[in-house]
Amino acid sequence: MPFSILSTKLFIPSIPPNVINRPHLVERLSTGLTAGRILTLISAPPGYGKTTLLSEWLVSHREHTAWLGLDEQDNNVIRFWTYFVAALQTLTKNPFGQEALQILESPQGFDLVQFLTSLINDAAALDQAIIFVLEDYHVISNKEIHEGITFLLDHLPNTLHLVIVTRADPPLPINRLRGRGQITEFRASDLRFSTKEAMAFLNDSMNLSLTEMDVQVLEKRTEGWIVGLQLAALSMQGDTDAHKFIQAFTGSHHYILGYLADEVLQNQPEDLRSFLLKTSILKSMCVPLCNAVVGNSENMDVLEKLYRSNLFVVPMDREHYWFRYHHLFAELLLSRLHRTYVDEIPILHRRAALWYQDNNYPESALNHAFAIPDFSFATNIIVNNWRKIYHKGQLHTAVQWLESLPSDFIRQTPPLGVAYCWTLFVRGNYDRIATYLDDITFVFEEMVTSGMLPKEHPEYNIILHQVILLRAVVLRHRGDVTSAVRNIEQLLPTISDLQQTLGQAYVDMGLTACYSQMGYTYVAANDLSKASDYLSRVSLHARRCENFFALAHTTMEWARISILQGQIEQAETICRHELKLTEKPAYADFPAFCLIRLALADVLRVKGSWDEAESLLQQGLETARKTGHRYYLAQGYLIAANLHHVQGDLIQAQDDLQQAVRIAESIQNRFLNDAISLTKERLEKKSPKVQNLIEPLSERELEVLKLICLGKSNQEIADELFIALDTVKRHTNNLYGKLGVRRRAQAMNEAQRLGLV
Amino acid sequence: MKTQEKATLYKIKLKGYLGDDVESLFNNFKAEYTPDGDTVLTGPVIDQAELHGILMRIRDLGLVLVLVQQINGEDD
Repeated sequence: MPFSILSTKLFIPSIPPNVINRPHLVERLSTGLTAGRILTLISAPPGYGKTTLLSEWLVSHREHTAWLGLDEQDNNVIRFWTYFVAALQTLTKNPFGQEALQILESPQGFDLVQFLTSLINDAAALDQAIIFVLEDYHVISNKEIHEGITFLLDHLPNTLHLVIVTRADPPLPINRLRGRGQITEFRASDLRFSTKEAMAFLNDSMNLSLTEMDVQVLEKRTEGWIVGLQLAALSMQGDTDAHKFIQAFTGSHHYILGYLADEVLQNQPEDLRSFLLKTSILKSMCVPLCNAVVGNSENMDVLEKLYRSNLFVVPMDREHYWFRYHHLFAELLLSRLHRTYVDEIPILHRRAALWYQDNNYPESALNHAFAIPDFSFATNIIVNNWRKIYHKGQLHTAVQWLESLPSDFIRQTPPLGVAYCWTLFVRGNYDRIATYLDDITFVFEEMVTSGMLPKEHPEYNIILHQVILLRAVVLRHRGDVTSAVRNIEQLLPTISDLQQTLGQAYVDMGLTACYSQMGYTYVAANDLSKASDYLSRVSLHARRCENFFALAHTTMEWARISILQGQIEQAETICRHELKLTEKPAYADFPAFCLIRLALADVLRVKGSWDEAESLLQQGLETARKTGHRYYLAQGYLIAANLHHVQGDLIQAQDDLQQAVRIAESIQNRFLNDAISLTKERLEKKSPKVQNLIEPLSERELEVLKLICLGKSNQEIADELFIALDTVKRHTNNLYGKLGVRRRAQAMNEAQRLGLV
Repeated sequence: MKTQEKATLYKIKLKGYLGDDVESLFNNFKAEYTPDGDTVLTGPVIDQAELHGILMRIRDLGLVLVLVQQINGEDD
């Protein structure tokens, strides 16, 4: 999952103490459900008891209710739907929503309809109906999310009843639902307290003894606004002369909330008042966090006390560990914090960020670091956490964190810059890596010469290594294989030397990266035995540091070149060895692992075990399709095209190829385009050709020969195959020798005659 | 081509007397009060996105919106 799920967002709120029962509203809610209506919409400004009403209704439905409390960050589509599924999963058994979640986590973006269809199918298969509450839907402004919910409403299975709680009518097809009688609506006028309810609330729940006349006046002044009545009650609790208070309050035209909040705050002892103000910066509170922010450590049950005295704290979990303020109260506290302790606000955010960081909540820590705002603090949090998520293939989160910093900041902060470069590497954006590297190197050298970053500092080596490795990636991409190899060769001994200072985990991480990049570089140089040697070393280290992303990609490459070397058995052994890892339940659905299945399918094609190849191919394609990884899917189709071609099913092969082409057009990946043009040429031959030569051409030489026949220059061939010019010349000489020719034109004739192209 | 968007003045009438809360709840706005105790905020708004942000804030504070009016329009 791309985010660590905060269970507090999924918590069904419990009924507050001393609540006023509202049977007539609860009955309307139940009627909506039993009548089989699709949606319940509770749309009213804050403070009308929307959530409290639901919590009263849901007491008898708890075991089949899912709850999702939304916040502004849920406007991120991936985050929204991840939480959406996670909320439903609190009630369902595996594998509910597994497939949908995989579709979300695709580096090239996911298909909304595909995702929702998978989710709807899972929901339709449930054996009990679920009430699903989306709370605070008004925070959602992302059109894509509204489109998704609209699609969902149009296709909702009868096992799901949606409840939307919002302060503003959502841009969903509400009118259509009204017209069809498929919606139960509650608005401010339905929710405000009647005089009778106000009476019961003030006198019974809040232990006041007001006359009916006083209650009527209060009810009129607040217009039945529940939060207003609650604040009024709190203001009167310490006050002996309630009547006098009511006269002053109702006689004023003051903004109800502002007036009453000041009254309530004045009734609190000084230390509690300051506690309320200073903790108002927190979106959620637990006692240790509050103490860290406020700076005292005596009050172990302060939040529980606030809750019991109706001071607008809302529990967020069953254990009453996490609380938050009621939104309206938080707003007022925050505005008063700005009036009284404005200079302290950055300090409070810093304390919160530190607490979250120490307690391993990087996302919350990051939010407070941004609020300070302290970008170097934010940088630290990102630098310490991005690798963990990146190695699990959670590219979105890594990119999102990095891109929430100003782009100059990424360029000027080497550890961030290298992190960002790796996300570019995965996305195949090599040209941008080069521009970032120039900036990073410049700043890095400045830091070293100015003494800001001494060479003994562990950070020095970490950055240096990344820069060298990324430089090698860029060099290789530009065709300068010799320099790329030299870069990594210099790096290798340094990494192992750092075991003492940086630990084995760092060594594993470093070696995984070095060996895989070295392998890719030798592939580009067409030195397959060296490439094979390096790629074979990746697995051990990648497994240790759980970099499955690198593991899957290098396995595929290693298998591919083993085939080219004619070592089919070795290729099969490699793939089968790694395949065992993918069968572990914990890793079963890791998207990149589909590459291992696809690689093995390709090996078995060459070996002639076509049935097993077909079955693995389908499994690999299925995972790629389900997870929405279009790059993997296209790779799969290419392997399918080759497999079906060799089996003589030319129509199917062409069809597979077209699928790959179609995907490639949408993702524009150079490697993919290259692989496609090779497959295309292979398929254009009527049937696989038998080489009539004493010494057959290698696959690479054949590729070069085909390009020669297309009239390409050596430089063009080098560009197209991602290999160095020298390498092309070597291939050309070799194949001239094998064909017994001395010039380009002769080679073209000979190739035609032998039917090689 | 315009290089910088000129702020437009808006008048926003809210039910009730906001008093000291104006300053902390709505930056850059000045408040006047009508005889029947309502609040009229006047202030610069950069663009429609900011205006909608302010309206949302009004909603989130449970304030009652009475009127929104642009003061210096394009002919200004």
